[in-house]
Amino acid sequence: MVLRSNLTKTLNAFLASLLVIILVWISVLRLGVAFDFSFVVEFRQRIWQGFLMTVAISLAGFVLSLFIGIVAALLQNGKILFLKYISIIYINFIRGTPLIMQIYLFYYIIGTAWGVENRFLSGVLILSIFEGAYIAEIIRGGIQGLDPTQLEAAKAVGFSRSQTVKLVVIPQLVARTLPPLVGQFSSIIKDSSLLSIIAVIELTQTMREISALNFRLFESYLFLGLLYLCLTIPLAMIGKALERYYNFEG
Amino acid sequence: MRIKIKNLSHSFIGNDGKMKRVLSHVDFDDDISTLSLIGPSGGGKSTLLRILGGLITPTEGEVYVECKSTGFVFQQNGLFKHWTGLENITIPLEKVYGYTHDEADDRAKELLDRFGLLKDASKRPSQLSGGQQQRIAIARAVASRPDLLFLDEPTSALDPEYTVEVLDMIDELKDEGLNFVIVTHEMGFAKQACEKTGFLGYPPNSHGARFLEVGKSKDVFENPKDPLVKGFLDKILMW
Ligand SMILES: Nc1ncnc2c1ncn2[C@@H]1O[C@H](COP(=O)(O)OP(=O)(O)OP(=O)(O)O)[C@@H](O)[C@H]1O
Ligand SMILES: [Mg+2]
Repeated sequence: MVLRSNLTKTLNAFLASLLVIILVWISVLRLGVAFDFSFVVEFRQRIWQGFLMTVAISLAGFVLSLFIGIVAALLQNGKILFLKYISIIYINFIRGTPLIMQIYLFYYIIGTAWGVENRFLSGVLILSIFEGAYIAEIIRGGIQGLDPTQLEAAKAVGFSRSQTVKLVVIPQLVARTLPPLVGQFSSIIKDSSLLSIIAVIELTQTMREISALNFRLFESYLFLGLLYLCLTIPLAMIGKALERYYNFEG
Repeated sequence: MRIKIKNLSHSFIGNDGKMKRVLSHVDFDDDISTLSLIGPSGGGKSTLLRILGGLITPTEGEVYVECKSTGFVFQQNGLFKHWTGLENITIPLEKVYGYTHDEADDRAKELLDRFGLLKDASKRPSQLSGGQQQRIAIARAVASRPDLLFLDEPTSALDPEYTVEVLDMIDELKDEGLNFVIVTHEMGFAKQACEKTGFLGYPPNSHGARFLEVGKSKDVFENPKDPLVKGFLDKILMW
């Protein structure tokens, strides 16, 4: 039974991949272009630079947005009404407007009003402000999902407040939020491509520049997609593994 | 073991934002070894038990429980979900009672072995049956050798077969001299296994529950004096 279902799975996965490849192939034929990936070798230095830039921006953006998200979630759950409302306004504004509009807007505010000239820095800031609102929601969901009985049990076994936070609240919060946070990291990597519009030379911008030189648009973007997949597929697998590891909610 | 409750009242803030009185002027003064708390649903039994166990502070009044340490068992989900059954017992022993890791491990395994739970010790609560979870929760609560155990409907979320194994475990611990206060719907257990029984309910025209009857379990069940208690018992003992 298990064997058969595995076989069916493999067969279906194979058929699906085949269909996708055929579709791409037909499109290529209709375009009348011949595949030519030689630019990859030619521009390997620049592509590598762009790739590293995307990784660097995403990593820095993830760390900063995690910080922003935790603060926003705590403020939103907190008792100080003024800060609570600031956090609510922030989260709703960011989640309710498109990233591309925010990039233009914040690039002016951060760049012109606050005088941040460095494109990497403003890119990271803009990306983190955006992603922080989504991370705040993940953290808030995690806090809300904590079972009150677990806290009462902590009191009943005699844990102090700080022991309760350290031994019960944080581990359970990490377990609930880590898998979606890994998913959010994946979104950050993809969203960072939009920073190309303010001329941050990350992966997408690099490919745009290369394809503008050699007009190999199709191959450039196909290759660009593959490079993003190199980052996001392992993350998706890590996310799945974490989900399995932390699956103790029953 | 003496338990004294003097003029105890407790209110919660309800969903509508108004104070809702649950317990009203509860008085109790008795020597107990094993006490069951029974009464209608919503009658404040859990609330009183939480106050006695020190988990919540009453809005008014005083409680005095003559003991050095207590344990508490919840209706369900009282085990920490992110720890194995064994860790649920050992970590509190280490962090709260200052056991070394080896001492805690020995104590936990001794208890788990006795109640046939050793093979499940390395599983997390979600991988255990409700009955196993409750028995590990009881083992955790008695691991530090408290003088008094509070149990809040430890079997009401369980199937009958698991109910029996949990009640058996409590009965066995009782025979070793453990004192406990249990909130329960298992009338047979309250009557036969508990020395005394208290009935919490709402007297007519009152806001909030108090003891309508307290006494030896046999007397409360066979010969209730309060008409409300009698009515309640007649109704539920019909089946
Ligand atoms: N934390 C709380 N906040 C607000 N109301 C509460 C809270 N805990 C209990 N109550 C209310 O207090 C009343 C008494 O609750 P309690 O749980 O003590 O009753 P009980 O006798 O244990 O009932 P049951 O047999 O259903 O467990 C109920 O009406 C309940 O809704
Ligand atoms: Mg209750």
